[in-house]
Amino acid sequence: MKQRTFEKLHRSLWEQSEELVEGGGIADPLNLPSLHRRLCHSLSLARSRGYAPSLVQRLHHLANRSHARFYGTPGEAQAVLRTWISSEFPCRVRSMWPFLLASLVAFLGPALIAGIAVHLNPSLSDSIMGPGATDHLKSMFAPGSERIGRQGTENDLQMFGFYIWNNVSILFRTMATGVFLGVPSLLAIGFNGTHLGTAFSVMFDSPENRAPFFAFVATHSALELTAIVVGGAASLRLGWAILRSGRRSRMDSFRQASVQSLPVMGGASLMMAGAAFLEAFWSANATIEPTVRIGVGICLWALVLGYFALAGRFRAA
Amino acid sequence: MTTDQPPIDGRMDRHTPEGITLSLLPVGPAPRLWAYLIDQCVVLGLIFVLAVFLVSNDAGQGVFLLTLFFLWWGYPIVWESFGGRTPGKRALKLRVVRVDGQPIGWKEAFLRGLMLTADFLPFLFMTGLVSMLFTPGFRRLGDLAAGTLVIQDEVVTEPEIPHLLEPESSPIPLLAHEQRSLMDLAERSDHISTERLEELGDIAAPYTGLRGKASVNRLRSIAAGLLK
Repeated sequence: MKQRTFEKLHRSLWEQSEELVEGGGIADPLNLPSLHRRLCHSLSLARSRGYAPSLVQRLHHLANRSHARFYGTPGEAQAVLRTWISSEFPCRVRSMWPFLLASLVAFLGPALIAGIAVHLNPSLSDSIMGPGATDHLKSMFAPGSERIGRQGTENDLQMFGFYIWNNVSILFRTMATGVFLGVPSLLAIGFNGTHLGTAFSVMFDSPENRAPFFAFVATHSALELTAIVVGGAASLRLGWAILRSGRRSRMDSFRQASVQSLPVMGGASLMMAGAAFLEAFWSANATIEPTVRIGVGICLWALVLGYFALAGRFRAA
Repeated sequence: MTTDQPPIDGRMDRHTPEGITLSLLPVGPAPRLWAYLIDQCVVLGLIFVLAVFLVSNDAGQGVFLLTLFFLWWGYPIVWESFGGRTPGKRALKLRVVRVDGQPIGWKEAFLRGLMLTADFLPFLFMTGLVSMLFTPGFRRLGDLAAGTLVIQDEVVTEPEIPHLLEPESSPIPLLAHEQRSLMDLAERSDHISTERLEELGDIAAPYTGLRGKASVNRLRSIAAGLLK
């Protein structure tokens, strides 16, 4: 058959396919299966009969898009957000408990060591946090200031922007670098822990700063510290998947670990953003009684730990 | 382009249940770097404009840092979630698809965007480059994590009908791949230099019985004969 005759025979088929693939036309989507089959057949014919490359290329392009339309995944399952928050995130976190434990040790270990060391030898705190940092920290939590935890006059929105840009970006970087066998993530978690332990120790040993400081950190720490540990666990999971790929190829194992860690990484990011919100608009507000803020902080801690311990355990199958 | 030889241009073939072969053409580091640079110019330009308007007061700085965050991390993720192309990729006719050729969703886009940081390390995307060199289909870490490929979007050329003398029939029956080569030559002959065309005509001399330009014209007439 000459090419022109072939084109004339199939023109209406190709036009209908084009319309369906592009969407928005009047073509009935129910025709897709039969149209796609006939389109593939015509491509096959055009190839085997040695028709012009331009025609084959045009049909190949059409068939590629038709294939994507035909075999493509339908829209995401319903209520993605709800299942993610209510069960997928906490379940995934529980299922990676060895990494959670490792992350917790990498965080609390340095924190405890630094805290005890600074408690015994207060001059160490400047060598850990940098010269002058101790005095700076104390001035930020001086009793009687209207906004605690800040250098001076920054307003809430400004600090919110800063916390989001700084803290969430750091969390993203920590999670991404898990791919380097988890080493950079471990260092980042340990570094965070060391600073935290030092600051806690300094504040604990300074009676006038103690109350403002703990009232400040009580609430948002429930989200922020858990986000660091959980995000760290997700990144360690990535690194471990490459190191010990089991019976999969390393590439495959890494791919699987990323997909499984995705809900956790997203959840940790959300928690970090929530912590930034609390830190900016709630924690620093000295007009709210410190006891109220500490009380709310304890409730939030209980809520977060309860969430990770229990959420998603009792869902109907 | 005979089907019995393995492709030499890095095409990745998929065999579909309909019994046909569909191929994807993954692209290497160079065009992707250009696309990235275009995107980076857009992002930095936007950040600059925002900085001019917002940094003057405290609340504005907060809004600036927030938008900075969403631009910096969100730009590739949001663009790639819808159609798999950032403006830079659109300009270079690149597209992100899953390894099976299907369009990507926001999960893939998020993993790719997150892993961009890891690919950048230790400097200037060295990790991403090394990963591209050692994986089939030029995949950076983000591609490996998300199971994606960056492919060349197919450009469909309008068939250039050999504007013809008059259709002739072939002196001998042609095999499919011979016929295809002939059609390919006829369609592209306007883009080939005269000297090269004459050389090609000489090569075809045993088939056409003519030399040089006349031989090419003969080939084109035969192509026209195959067409209609």
